[in-house]
Order: sequence, then structure tokens, then C-alpha cells
Amino acid sequence: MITLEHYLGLSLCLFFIGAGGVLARRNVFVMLIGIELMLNAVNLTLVSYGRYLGHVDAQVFTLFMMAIAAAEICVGLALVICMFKHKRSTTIDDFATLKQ
Amino acid sequence: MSELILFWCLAVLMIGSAITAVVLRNPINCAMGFIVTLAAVAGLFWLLDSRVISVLQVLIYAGAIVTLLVVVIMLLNVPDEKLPQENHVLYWVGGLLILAFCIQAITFPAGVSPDKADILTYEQASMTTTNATPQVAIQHLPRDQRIQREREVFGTMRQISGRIFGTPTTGAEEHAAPRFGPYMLAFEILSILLLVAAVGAVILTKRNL
Repeated sequence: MITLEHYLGLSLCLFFIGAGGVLARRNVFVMLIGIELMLNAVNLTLVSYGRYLGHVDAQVFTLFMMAIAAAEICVGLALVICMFKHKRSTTIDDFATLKQ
Repeated sequence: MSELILFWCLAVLMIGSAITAVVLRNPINCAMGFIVTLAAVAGLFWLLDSRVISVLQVLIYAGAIVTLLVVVIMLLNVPDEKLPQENHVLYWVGGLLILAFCIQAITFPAGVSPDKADILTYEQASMTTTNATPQVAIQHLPRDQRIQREREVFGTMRQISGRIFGTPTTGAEEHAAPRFGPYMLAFEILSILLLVAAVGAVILTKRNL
């Protein structure tokens, strides 16, 4: 029988795969995909907790998080286009200008 | 039993495609892997009896967000030799760290967790949420109730389409009000957030204002 821990473990794995993608990759697009994977993992946690604790409200929060993810990817991609216009590159190391 | 098999199939698909989405070199391939991950998560939502969220996952994520991502990737069209040189040592370090974190989190659970008594079993959860939402746990009901419930669900769809095409109906509000009623303000603020994001994206990418 599927328990709450099954879903929590699964979303944990998804979250860390996303976090690893953000930390290890240098392509801006893949970093954005990693952020989205992490958001999805949190959604999965919310829905599974809501299901196993008997609260329907979790689904409403998941809906809100989806809208926030949409806003985030919208602004993120606009920033990527902006950066590409300046440096003609999607490598994240080219934008470490504040570090120098 | 069939649910367990489905769960493991979706889990393997989700983890595999998520790894694909993160390690492949070309971002367009990563986006394709990302779509498969989203579809698998939508399947898990369906398995968790939240079918509205499952449908919205496909509509919003796979429909809107990934489309936007793919369009921008193809718009910028970075040639293969100009893709960033990835540091493969980092992959191994990251992979090992992820593994360590997962093992740590599974074996030493955090202090904040709900009481064991509060967590429902699969069947209990089906029974509780059935009263709250019209579209959950159909498969656990007896046959006549299941038919009744499916009628309700599809009846709701018919009522929504009836609202658009002019048949006098009620019903959509009754289902939506207990869910969204307490969160009306948050819902409205969210629409402002989306508007601000859209305007911000246009301002950021416009050549000269």
C-alpha cells in the first residue's frame, strides 16, 4: 500500500535533483529547469500531505504555487534574454560581473 | 495493488526523466526531459485523487511554462560550440551530495512532523476527502455511488460549458466556493502578481522604452 513516506521520499529525490541541477550546471536554461523541478517537488509534498491529512486546502495552495512558478519563469526568461543581448552568451560564468 | 504498480512506474519515470532534464548538454533536450517529468508528476497527482491539480499541471506547466521555455531556447538558438563548458567533476560531487542528503533525510527524520495518529491510511484518506471534493476516490465507492459521482463530475463540466453557451445552470459556484472562498484575497493578489510579471518581462526585453 502506498504510504505518505513514499510520496515524501519521491519529492525529496526530485527536489535534490533540481537543486543539483541549479548548483552544478552552467547553462542558464538548465538552471531554470532545476528551479522548476524544485517547485514541482514542493507541490508534490503539499498535495500528498493534504491527501493523507485530509485537508483539501493544500490543493488550493498548489494552484497558487503554479501561478507563482509561471510568474517566476516569465521574469526569469526575460532576464535571460536581457543578459543574452548584452553578452551573446547563456553561460552563467559570463555574468559574474559583481564578483570582480 | 494496481495503484502500487502505477506508483512505482511513475516514480521511476519521474526520477529518470528529471535526471535527464538536468544532465543533458543541449537545453532543448533538457526541456523535453522536463516535460516527461511534469507528466509523471501529473500522474502522481491523479493517483493522489487531486484531479483538478493534475489537469492544471498539464495545462499550466507542460502547456504554458515549457512552451515559453522552448520558445526562448529556440529564439536565442545558441550554437553547439558556444554552449557552456560543463565541469563534469561537479556532476559527481553534486550527485554524491544529493545521495548523501537523501540518505540523511530518510534515515534521520526532522523534528517537525505530524503525529502518527493524524496521518490517514490510503482508504481513510479516500473516505475523508470524498465529502470535501466531488471528484475524489471514485474507484473506492460502490458501483451505484460511483456512477452517481461520475455523473456529478461530468455534470459540472457540462454546467460550465452550459454557462458559456447559454444553458441556464448552477453548480460551478457550489463546488468552487468552499475551496476558494477563504482565499479570495490571495487569489486576487495572485492575479496582480501575474500582471506585474508580464509587464516586467515586457519592460525587461523591450529594446528602447
